[in-house]
Amino acid sequence: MFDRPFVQRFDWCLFGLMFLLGCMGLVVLYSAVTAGSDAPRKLLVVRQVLWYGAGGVLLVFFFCVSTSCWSNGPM
Amino acid sequence: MIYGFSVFLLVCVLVFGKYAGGSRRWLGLGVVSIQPSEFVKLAVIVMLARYYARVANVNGLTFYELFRPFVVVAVPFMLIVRQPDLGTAMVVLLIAVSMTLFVKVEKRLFVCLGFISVTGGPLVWFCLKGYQKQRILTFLNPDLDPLGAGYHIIQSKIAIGSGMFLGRGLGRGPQNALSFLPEQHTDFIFSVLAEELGFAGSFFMIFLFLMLVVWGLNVAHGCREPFGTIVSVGVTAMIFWQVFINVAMVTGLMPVVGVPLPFISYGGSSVITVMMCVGVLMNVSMRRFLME
Amino acid sequence: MLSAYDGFTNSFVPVFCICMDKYLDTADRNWYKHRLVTAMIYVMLAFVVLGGRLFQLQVLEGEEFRRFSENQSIRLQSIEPPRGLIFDRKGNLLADNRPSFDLSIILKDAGPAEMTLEKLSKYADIPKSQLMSKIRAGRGIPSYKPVLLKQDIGRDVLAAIEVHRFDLPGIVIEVRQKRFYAQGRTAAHVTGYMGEISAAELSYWKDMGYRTGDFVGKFGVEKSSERFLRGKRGGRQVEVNAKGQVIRVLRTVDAEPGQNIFLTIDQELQQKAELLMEGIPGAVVAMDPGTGHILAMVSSPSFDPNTFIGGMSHREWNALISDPFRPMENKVIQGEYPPASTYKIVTAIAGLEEGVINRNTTYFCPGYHRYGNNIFRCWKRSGHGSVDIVKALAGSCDVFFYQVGLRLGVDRLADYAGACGLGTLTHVDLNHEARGLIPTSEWKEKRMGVPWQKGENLSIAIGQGYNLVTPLQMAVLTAAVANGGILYRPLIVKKRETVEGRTVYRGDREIVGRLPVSRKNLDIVRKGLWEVTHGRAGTARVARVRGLGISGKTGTAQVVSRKRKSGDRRVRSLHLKSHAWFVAYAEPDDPRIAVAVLVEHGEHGSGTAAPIARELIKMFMGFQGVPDVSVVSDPGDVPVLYEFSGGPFF
Repeated sequence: MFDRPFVQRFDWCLFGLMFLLGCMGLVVLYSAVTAGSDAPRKLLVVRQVLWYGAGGVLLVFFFCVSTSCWSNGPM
Repeated sequence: MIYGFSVFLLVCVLVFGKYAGGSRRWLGLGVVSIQPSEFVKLAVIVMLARYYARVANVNGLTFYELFRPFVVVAVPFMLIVRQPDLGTAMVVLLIAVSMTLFVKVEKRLFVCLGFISVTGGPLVWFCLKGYQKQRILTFLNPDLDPLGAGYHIIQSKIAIGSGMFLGRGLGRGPQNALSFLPEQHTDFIFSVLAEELGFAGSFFMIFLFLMLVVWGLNVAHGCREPFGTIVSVGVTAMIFWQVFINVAMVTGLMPVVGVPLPFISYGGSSVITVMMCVGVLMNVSMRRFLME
Repeated sequence: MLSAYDGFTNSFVPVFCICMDKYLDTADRNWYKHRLVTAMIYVMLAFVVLGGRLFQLQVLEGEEFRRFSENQSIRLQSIEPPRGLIFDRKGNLLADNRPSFDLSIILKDAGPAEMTLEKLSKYADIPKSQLMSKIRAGRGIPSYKPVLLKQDIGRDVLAAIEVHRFDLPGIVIEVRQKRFYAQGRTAAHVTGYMGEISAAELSYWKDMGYRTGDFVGKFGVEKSSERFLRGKRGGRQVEVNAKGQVIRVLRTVDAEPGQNIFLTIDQELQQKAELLMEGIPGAVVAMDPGTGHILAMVSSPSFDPNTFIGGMSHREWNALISDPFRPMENKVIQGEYPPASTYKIVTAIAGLEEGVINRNTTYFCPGYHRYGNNIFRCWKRSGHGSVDIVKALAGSCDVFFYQVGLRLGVDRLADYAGACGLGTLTHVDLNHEARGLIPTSEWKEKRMGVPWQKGENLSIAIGQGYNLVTPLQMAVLTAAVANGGILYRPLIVKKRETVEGRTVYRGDREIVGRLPVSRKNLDIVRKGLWEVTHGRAGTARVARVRGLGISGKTGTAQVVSRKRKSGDRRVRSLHLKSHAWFVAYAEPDDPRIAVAVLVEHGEHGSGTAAPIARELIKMFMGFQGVPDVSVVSDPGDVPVLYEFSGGPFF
């Protein structure tokens, strides 16, 4: 069934796009919360990174669960 | 399993009123607070995809076949409108409409629904809250609220426009630094980006989003089973609409509705939902090789 | 990668058309692909729109936006709404607005701020260190926003600054409205006062457009009608040049002025009542028995609301709130006092209605009543002799009402008191109203953990014990007795109108209940109250005025204990003296005014409270005559002494 190695089957393009957007997001967020403010809310950036981490875990989860088990449900 | 998940989310949406404290959209869970309306989007996508994958045909959906999707969308939609969070509610509705139109609706029914939505517009108008009406009116005529939303749009346009071609450099945008922009780390973050990175940066970002959407549709294209295709379309529609509404809003093309920009805006629920969506897309993308 | 994809789909479309005939009904993979191509086209179009918009804003119009941004040249200036005015019922102005000139600095435009401040301190005669500290305090404020330096500068300072305008870049003078209470202390507790918005109020009202530094109503009608008085803030979007001068007004939203309020208060009567209460701590409230309008509301001592507007020093504020005579409290609605003998009106109603007594029931008063081991005295040691209900009310015979109370029991009496509006909120449109207290056996059990004792029925029947009422509750009850039994909600706002003069609210009578008494029995009570001032043994013959029919009831409330032990000698000498009550109305056949007077530590109702009520009613009825001096005044009803535990009293 797995006739090609994982590296070839994995959607690297999608991953790359996501990674690029995520990085841009963090940079802009850092700028938005620090610029000009007396009390920079840098904590927000850290939290955002943590959210990315949590999102990554869920991403892997949704990536691994076979689609067939969602498509067979009520409705 | 997904059904249970979505029901759980809906229950969360129901109870959040108790936990929300000052704000009405969040559900406090210890240190973090989540926004269940974000997760509902994905749940709706999966529910609709599952159903449409079974009933879709070349002639399009009939009126009876549309009933169940209607319920699936209407319940969370009303709950979110109640919060009230017009932006998210609009996104849920647009995702559902996009998916439904994608699997095709009977021509006659399509005309009927189009007619109903045109005539139903005024009806919805009466159900909107005062400040939501104000926002739409402001969009149609910014002179109506030059001190609130109208002023925000102007400041956002100044921020974006003043970025010119190359931008002012990161952390050097005066509009950003002087707090002229409202909610500069969430809904208006694109204005910060455009001010500091200029047309080059903002266009590049738009281009990345375009690539993402195109790639999502490509994944749908490559999938061999209807469910995978439709779910990919739904996920892609979600990303597309959020990008479109957010950017159109901050550039003054649309009303000021609070819709976060995927990946960029601050917000845990939004980030996690988008990541889950990408996970789904990767999953579908991967599976096209399984049969070969 | 994109172009490859497009090429693929393009070549695919014709193939699809052929396939369609074969698989008419099933949505197969090819069919989906066709629809995906359509979706793709829409997506492309949408992104072209976005990209085009960005190009327009950033490249085509970028130059202009950059200029706007450089100067932060589009700014918002707020326009404060004029606050609604407060008038008395006849249109006399009580609360007015006056302009106040506030000095601010916009740091961004001030050039070297140091130098500007140096000059400013010379012209305005304000020490430079004081100005600098203001700037340091406002450090979080963006540099394009004004920092307040001094509020309410005088006209001479204003002139000096105007003359040297060009010498003082970045200095702005803003005109703001300030409250001015034209009549000073008159009705201070009713109009209330204003102060800077607190953090709690700000978070509560944020959605309604309030901001830090706003002045809001803090007390009285200023507070309870805040949302009507305030109006709506306006503003203008302006374009300024690099020096911060406005070169163009882009858009303006006019402020909406607040609504003007006409109180039910009659200024003349109010001032008369205040004059009568001069130097006497206590409360006076006068009502129109036909409408529930409050004609006068005096709480003494009072305060000058103007002192709050300019900002009050800490010391002044502390002096006010720690004053043992409580000037900051509106005693008419916040003061809770034992109703004492005025409560006999309720006991009489309950006794008559429950059939415990009738018009002809008589009891003998030897000057005391023996119950169990205890002796309960009547205020009149020599005793009233044989009295019926009318004589008992007139002479305020305690023994008669001990008998009634014993037969009624606490809970039946409490039902009647509640139905008469005692121990419940009157819902007058003022904040901080106290509820008072009408005890029941259940309440005592819960609160004290001890059951109700029968002996206590005696003391509550004459309004002592746990009973507490506010003067306003007594006034509402008196008005109801006067008008034949209708309880009105006391009203303080007669009408509200917009600046254009359109009436948006009218304080029409609001019936909240009826006295639980038949017309026949009420007439018996009214006869008793008439005899209080006119009868030979009446306790308030001092309030009798020839040619003017005043009915009333005296009361002398024992002060059992004071919560606060004050070091002030005046207070200490007072603090065990009884409170004096007098409730009255005139005339019985055509009631036009009902009054409740409470004099704190005034000893006897007849001695101190009754003359105040008399003078007030006389003035209101336009009566110029002198009191009936031929009447020799009784000592009035002295406090009744009682004891529950221990042996006989004498």
